[in-house]
Amino acid sequence: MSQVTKRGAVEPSLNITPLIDVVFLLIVFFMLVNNIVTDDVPKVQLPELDDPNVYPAEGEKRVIVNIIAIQEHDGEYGPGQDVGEVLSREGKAEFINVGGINFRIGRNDGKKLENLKETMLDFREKCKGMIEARMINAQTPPDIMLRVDAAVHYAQVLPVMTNLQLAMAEALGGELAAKTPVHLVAYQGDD
Amino acid sequence: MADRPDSPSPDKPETPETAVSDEQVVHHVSARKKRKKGVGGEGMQLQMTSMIDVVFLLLIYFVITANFTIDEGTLVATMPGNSAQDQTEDQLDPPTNIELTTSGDFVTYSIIVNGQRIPDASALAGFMKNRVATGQMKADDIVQIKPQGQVRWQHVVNVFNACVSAKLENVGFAP
Repeated sequence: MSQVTKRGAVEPSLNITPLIDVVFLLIVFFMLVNNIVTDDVPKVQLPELDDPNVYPAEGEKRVIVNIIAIQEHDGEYGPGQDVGEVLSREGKAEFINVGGINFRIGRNDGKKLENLKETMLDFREKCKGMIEARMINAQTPPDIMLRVDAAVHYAQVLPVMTNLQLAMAEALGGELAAKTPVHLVAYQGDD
Repeated sequence: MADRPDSPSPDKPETPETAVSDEQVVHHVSARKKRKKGVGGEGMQLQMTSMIDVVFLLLIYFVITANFTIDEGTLVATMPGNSAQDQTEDQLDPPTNIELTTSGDFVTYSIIVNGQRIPDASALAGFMKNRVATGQMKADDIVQIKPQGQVRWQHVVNVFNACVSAKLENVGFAP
């Protein structure tokens, strides 16, 4: 303490070396995990399978298309839910979510939705942009994943799938798009 | 920075106090070390605080982001309208259609393969395996799932999964 009381004896200075260490560490860390931004994965109650034959997606880069159901209540999400209860929910979709952007395709107040056609075109355009931006190289597209709420009716999913395929064809060209699969996301189960 | 005051900062005026400070520096002992020596004379000590800060930060980050992909797996599918599922001339067999219908309630649904009714998804896996084993179809034949509009996505993916269980390689959705 003696140095402090003696005025001017010790020049106060910030030791920024550990700060720089930490900042660099964080920069590296964020660069590495950049692909799994939480924006891309909103909460969705995924299908639960009888005998799951799924595998974890290990692609370097991803484009994730989410279809979010109209929720009548604040239900819990995650595996192990009562399937009967989940499926008794309304089968309508409210949003398509790509890259953190919501495209409204349904309303929970029962009103009719206008300009649905434009929304789908916007969605297709967004998908195309995302696929192009996340190409690994000219011949390797990112993993394209479809996360759909288990309760949603197939009729709501079909136009999304069709537009996604069109977006892939526009972004990748017909030949590569035909070879590129889409990954359907479901819960993995215990094994 | 504090360890090399041999080069005094330019904005600092030359005063007797600086001279004292310079003298301290000649011994190359930082203020903190000196203080410690004065107290206990102990050697080096690890400064844990900043490390703990960082570890907590990383811990929180991982807890927040780890929710993703936990328990999530994927199935490889072909979208409707994909030309890979278009028939080529050497494939004369029509694609196997798996129709899914629902009677309107939430949970039950029916599976119909080429006109034949299958009780549930696990039975479908056995049925398809059997068809491949007996040579009625090949594993890379086109299989198209054709659900009614009201069928829940849960059932669609479950049937898809059953096809994958049966080692079918070309499963897609009917346009």
